[in-house]
Amino acid sequence: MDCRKVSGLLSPYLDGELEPSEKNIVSSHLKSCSACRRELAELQAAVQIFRQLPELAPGPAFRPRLRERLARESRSLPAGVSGSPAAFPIGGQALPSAPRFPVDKAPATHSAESREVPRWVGLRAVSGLFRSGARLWPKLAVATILLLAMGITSLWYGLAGPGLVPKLPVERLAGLPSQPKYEEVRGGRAEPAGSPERKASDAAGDDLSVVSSPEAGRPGLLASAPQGVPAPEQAPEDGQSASKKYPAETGHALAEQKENQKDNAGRQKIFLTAPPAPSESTPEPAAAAAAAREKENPADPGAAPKEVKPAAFPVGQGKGYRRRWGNCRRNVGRPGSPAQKIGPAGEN
Amino acid sequence: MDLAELIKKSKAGDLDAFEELVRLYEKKVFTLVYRFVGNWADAHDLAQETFIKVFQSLPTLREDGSFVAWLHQVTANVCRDELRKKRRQPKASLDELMTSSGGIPIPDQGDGCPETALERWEMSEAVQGILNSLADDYRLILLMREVEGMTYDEIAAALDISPGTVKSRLSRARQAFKQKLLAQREHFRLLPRLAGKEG
Repeated sequence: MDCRKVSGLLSPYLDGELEPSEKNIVSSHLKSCSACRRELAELQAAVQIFRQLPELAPGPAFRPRLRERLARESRSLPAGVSGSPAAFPIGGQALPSAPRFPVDKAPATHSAESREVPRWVGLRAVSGLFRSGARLWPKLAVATILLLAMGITSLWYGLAGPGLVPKLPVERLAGLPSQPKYEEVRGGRAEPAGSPERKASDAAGDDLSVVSSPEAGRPGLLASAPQGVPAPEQAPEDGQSASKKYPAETGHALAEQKENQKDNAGRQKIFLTAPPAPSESTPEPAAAAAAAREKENPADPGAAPKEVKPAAFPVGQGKGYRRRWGNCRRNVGRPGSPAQKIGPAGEN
Repeated sequence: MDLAELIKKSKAGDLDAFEELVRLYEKKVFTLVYRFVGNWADAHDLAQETFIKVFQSLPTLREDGSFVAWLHQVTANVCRDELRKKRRQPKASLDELMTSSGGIPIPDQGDGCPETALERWEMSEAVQGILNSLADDYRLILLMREVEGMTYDEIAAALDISPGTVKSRLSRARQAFKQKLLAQREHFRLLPRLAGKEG
């Protein structure tokens, strides 16, 4: 056997942990190899050093502190501590011999008493809740931040204008009479209550100021123009009124408009009503709408698609959008206006 | 009160009996964990942790089992847990930045000679420095064998490795320790064999 292999066996040789055959081989090699003998001597000296190391004692407070910790942990963790019934009574009831804290590879024992639900189970659950609270803090913090952000956002929208916050048509879905829904346009054009346009549209059962909802078939929603397409330029490509594309509860819309006229006589509002139901025979509303448009813009009677009134602005757009398109609506038909520059789809 | 009686009472939750058990073995446990972690404060914490686990796990100790071997096993497990923690959260504690003695009183060697006591204390600190510089696995197996005097089988059971692995790992650990020791032989002139190598 060469020196390298013997060197690997010197440690167990020193401890007497080699097989007899290996031990004989190493012994015979050591007789003939001085280098390995020296190495064995160094190894023995190194091991001897450990024997000369002094034994250390912990500080005087070690045992009192340990006892205090044991008592504390016994009280807080009754299920994991082998507390004697006399040692750690809680609420006048002795602790049962509970399952022990398992050491690695040591199977935990469960006594018969531990299968019953003792009184301290609740205490243990509460203490576990407090302990797990440390892990819950980050989640709570994130939830709080989200709630604050939502609150601030809703507050901002509330200040920006009541119409910007979409409302679900709960009343309509329930078939109950709903509160009038409208969108106020600051500086924009709207049909005042009792105006000829309103009357005409009321009579025709059409609503010129209807907002074209992208969610067709959802009457009563505070509708918005299709996203990405500015409402003023939303001209029907096939020459039909945009309102024809959407179903409506026309009778209900009329009643709602009348209510709104009463309530909001002093304010400029555009009433949001359900778009009319899609039907192929709606010449009357279309004619009434055309008449209204001609009345409004007599200078440009031929530009019917351009004059389709965008009743409201897309939901969720900010003040700037409203201001810009409000002006645009005022300037509809005027030469050089943004709306005219852009024109209906297909013109540019 | 003999050991068996102390263990029996401690199993029943008698803190006085357990405190007596702690008094008997605290030096053994504390020396091992101090040699393992290398600083005073952590050694106290680990020793306390060890005895708490011992108290909690006493009912799992078999009647015919050796309490000392079992205590070594629990201590080794606490040290291994500490190793895992250190690997997961490497950190430099202030204690490690301080001197390794950390306020340990110089042990009285019994001969009454302060010079000898000081020399031994210096040697002890030098050995501790070498131990601290070893890999964790090497340090632990060396301490289990050389300080605690555990057998190969006990080490294998405590570390959950085969006896063959114990043999080879201990051999490499001793070789590594010896090399570092020879590099600092000026601290160990009390040892005749190593001192003889100087000349």
